Amino acid sequence: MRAGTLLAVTAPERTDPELLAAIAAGDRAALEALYHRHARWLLVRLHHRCSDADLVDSALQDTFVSVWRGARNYRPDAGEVGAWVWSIAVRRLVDHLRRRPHPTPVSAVPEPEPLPPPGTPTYDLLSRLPAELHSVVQAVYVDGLTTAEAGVLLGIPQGSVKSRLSRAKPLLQEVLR
Amino acid sequence: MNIDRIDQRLVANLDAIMGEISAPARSHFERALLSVRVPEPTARLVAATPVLRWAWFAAVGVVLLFAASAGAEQWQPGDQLAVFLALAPLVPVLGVALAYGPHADRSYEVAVAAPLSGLRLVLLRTISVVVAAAAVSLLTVVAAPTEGWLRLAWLLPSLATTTTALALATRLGVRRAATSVGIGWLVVVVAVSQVRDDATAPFGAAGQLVALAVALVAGAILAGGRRRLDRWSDA
Amino acid sequence: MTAPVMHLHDVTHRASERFTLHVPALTIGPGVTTVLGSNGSGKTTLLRLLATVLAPTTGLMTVAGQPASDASLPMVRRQLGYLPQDDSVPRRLTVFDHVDLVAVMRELHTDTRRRRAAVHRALREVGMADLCGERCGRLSGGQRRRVALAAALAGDATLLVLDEPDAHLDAEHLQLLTESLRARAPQTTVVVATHDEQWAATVADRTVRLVDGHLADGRG
Repeated sequence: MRAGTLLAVTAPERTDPELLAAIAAGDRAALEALYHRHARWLLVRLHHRCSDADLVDSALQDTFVSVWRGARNYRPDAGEVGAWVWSIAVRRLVDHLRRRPHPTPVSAVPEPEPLPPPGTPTYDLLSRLPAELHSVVQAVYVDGLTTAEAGVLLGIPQGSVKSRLSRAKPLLQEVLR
Repeated sequence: MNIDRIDQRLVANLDAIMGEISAPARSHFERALLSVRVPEPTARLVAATPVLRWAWFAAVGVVLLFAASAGAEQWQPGDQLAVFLALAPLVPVLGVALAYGPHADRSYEVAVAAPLSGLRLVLLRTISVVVAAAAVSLLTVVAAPTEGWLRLAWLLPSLATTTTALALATRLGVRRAATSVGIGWLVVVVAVSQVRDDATAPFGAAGQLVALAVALVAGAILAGGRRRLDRWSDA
Repeated sequence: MTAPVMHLHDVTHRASERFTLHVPALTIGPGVTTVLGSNGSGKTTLLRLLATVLAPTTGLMTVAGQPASDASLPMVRRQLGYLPQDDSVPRRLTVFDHVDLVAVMRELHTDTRRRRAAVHRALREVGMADLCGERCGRLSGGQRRRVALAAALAGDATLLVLDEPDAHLDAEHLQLLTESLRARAPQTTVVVATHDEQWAATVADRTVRLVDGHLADGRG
């Protein structure tokens, strides 16, 4: 442990893509470093999608196990490491929601979700949508889920996801104009 | 959300992640056990047993001996089967000897101090040898030169030697028990063969009944004395 | 869970024709208790009794008020982490698999992932996490000792019985061990046999001395 602390002081911090390259080569310390950098916001953000702490913990664990096994699949030109890890995390969460014995009862309108940080383009866009539409848009367009996965995440039938999306599309085109 | 709880969870989650990626891949044997719905901890116990492969080798050795002797012309077909029948019940006894005890397993003392019952551990390990030996033996016996049920005549004697070895192990310790039963079995088989002047005589109907009776008595003794396997023994 | 208190009431154990351990009365509570004595003084016999590996020939031993006899053995053992004096690490298994196998025998967790987490935590504690995939047969004596120690420490046992955990350890890892035991001391009952008087003085809350199978003096 002490040797590790010393190294951290003397060696320059590795960038995220450097860490992923090291993880692909089997560097356990690199996985721990990536975890310390990203796990906290991932945990908080997963909680915005799901309030069950055990499910979120499992999803977070699966995420980094997947990163360990699939680090070589990351392509730097495909986007930020954080975004790539998030796309894994939200899928692992959906996996766990699917496996849950009693799926969330379908309620009329899911709780409005917290918005992305103010000032970001996504925030501006989503804030102009009605509450019941913005969680669907966020799941499909921001998290990159399929309509089926979004249905599991939000606890609503896939058909509702699709219909809300089609209601959201003209609104989105309007705001984008 | 309480920030202290988040820190605790982040630490616990990191341990879970590092534990998950640190665990070496399971062996083919362990995965086979899991695929037939053996509970995960049990599969670990059976598959990771360090010394049992010697018992497997012995099982295969007995069968190879049988196969190799098949072409020997100086042997009567009955003699060959008799040798096989005499050796087959020794394989699970060897399994017992190698399953438990300070000579068989370096982590024996740790196993004794663990809540898992000694009888359960020794049975799990013995059964895995018995099943392997029986599977290999069955394959060979299909090709045995003798007709009829004599092909399977080692089944009850094997059960008798195994349970007797386990029952004696509660008194004498595993190694002494297995050695006694091994020698005792060979003495009985040779003596009965000589007296009746028939190499397969010990495996006749009377022999099978005696084997069954011995197995039942030994099983009762084992059940009564099983707690002794939870304490240390150096034999 | 609170640290269990162990009582020995007039316990004897006849280890051989020539050697009998006799303990008239001994109480071991939370904190670190070291057992000192020369070779053949009965340290290992006493620790095997406390680890429930040996049964008393006469007398009574209780753990947390329960007699440590047949019926309650599994319950007592579920709280126990035990490091034997002899090398207890099979050569063929990997470091991780050995500690994991002991964790299964100790019935630490039914959930595989939680058990693996406990195994990793213990290996990290003894500084062996980076060698978790190595076969034990390729380790040095000191490294194997640390693996055996990890198997005892895994899962936060409330009762630790460690027979010469300092054997084969270098100064750096002895320091780590001291810190581990001190950190656990308030909420764990730790019994440690050692030859090293100096180390005993740094780690112990109490000391028990054995001479020829008899208790010499205790303090604290």
